[in-house]
Amino acid sequence: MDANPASARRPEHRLRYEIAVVLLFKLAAITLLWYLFFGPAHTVVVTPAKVDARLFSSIPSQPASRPGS
Amino acid sequence: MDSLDPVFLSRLQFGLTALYHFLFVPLTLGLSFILAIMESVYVMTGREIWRDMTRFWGKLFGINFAMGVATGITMEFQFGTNWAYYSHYVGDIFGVPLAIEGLMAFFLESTFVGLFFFGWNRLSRIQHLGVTWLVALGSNLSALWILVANGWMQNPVGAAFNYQTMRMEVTSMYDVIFNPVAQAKFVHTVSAGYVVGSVFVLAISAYYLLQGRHVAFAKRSLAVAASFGLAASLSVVVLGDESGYLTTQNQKMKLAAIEAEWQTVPAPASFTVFGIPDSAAKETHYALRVPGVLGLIATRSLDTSIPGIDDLVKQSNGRIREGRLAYYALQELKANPGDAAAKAVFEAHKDDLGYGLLLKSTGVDPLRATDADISAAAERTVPRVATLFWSFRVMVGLGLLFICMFAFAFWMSATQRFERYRWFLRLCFYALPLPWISTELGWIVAETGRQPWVIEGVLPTALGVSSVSGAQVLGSLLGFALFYSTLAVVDVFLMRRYIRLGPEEVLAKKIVSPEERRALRAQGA
Repeated sequence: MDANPASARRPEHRLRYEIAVVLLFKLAAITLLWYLFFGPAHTVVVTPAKVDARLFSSIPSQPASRPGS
Repeated sequence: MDSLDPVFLSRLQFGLTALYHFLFVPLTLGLSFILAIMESVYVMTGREIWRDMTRFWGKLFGINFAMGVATGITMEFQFGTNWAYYSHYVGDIFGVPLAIEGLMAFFLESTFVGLFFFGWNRLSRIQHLGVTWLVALGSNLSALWILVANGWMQNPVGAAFNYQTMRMEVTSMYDVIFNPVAQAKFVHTVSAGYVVGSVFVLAISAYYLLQGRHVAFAKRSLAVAASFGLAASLSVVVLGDESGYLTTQNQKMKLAAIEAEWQTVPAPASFTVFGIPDSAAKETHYALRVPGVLGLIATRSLDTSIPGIDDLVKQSNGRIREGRLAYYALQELKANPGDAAAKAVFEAHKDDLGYGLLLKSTGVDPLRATDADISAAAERTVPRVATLFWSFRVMVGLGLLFICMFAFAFWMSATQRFERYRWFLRLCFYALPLPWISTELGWIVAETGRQPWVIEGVLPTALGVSSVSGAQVLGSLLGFALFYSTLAVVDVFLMRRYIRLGPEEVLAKKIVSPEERRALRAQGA
């Protein structure tokens, strides 16, 4: 006879218990991952000025003419 | 390629988390409708076995739902860190369907999933049936909003660039929601989910029949899976064809790469069934072609040609040059917002601004790009041909296999010849992983085919990535790999255990079919 009280339960009850444990584990793991890699300390704040600098800035020290002109 | 390249690692991380999340999604989509069908039969006939079927398959649905829930939220984490420029540039449009999905569809689905499991003894039959249908509709509505967001990445309509806020802004929410690409992707994707659910039920029912366990239960489950699966697999082909037709209109390079069509050929183009694409030589070795078929499928005509990769690269070259004009005008407008001439130039060329940014994504200043720089950037608009070519063919091949499998299962079920075709039951069981392979390949085709764009023609992928270190992305990537691997092991363990236990053990009751009930009554009489 199985001495483990959890596994001696009806499968339906055991399934609920196991799913609850998995959900708690997931919650903890996702929170930990978020804290370690994605929390406010790691969030990259992007402003229109930063987008301008990254995507639309040309080197100001060199003269640029209209393409094709 | 630098192994710590943040662009590569960010793409890898997003791709892996999306593919992992999509292991659960299609089974939820498919099983939820199968549960609704089974429970509808129970309510209509009052036969207890259909209730037991709904409850048992519902348990497996519950395991899948519990394992899958929140595995998608990690993708949203990445928007704020790895994809901050992407989020700023297109978040105004992309964020709307994601928010609606979270606030409306996901809560609808989650609330009714709870009622589905805990409402069996608290709700009337009709009320519970309503709940089951709402679970199915909620999960499908979730998919709708996600695919509206993804469809916009493939075909960015209803939005325009605002140089004052440096971002894309919505001009027509109607166009975003009713984007034909999004709608076609939605119906194609959910149909593929129905196929996944059907193969799942078919395979496990076949397993029980092979073992001679729960026979009445398995025969009925197999009948539902075969009929629903047959309708779904046929729909996938028809709706996939529509999706392919729209790709011809909006993503010509993706189509040319899928077909490894290096040069434009006279209409109607032939379909390459088999071949070995060689990107260096720009040809497909050992090609086995069926004349005219691609032209018919992709253009629905016999006289419209499909541009080949070479011609599309030339077109990209021209668009990059146009994009430089928009880029130049933007510089003028930044210096002098009232410059009417610059504004006119920008308006005339703004549709090609993204092509100008292709130069920027390779580290070249668009205003100082040489012809060689432009040609190199144009060549970069060709996605990975071999990946697309093979992913597409395996996906389609599996789709055709599912049609044959469901058709035979339907006939076998209708004629009750389960014992005679045990080889087929074995085939059904071993086919269990195949629908996941085909759906994942579908996403690989959709997303790899859009490269080098994160938003087709608007924003190159490399410019959407944040200035994060490769080591940081690698750290979170390893964290996800560990987390998801653990979850995958638990998922397989739980599924396997409850499938092996079978419905009578899981529901802790003897399942009696109507035939057995009649026989028992006759004995009693």
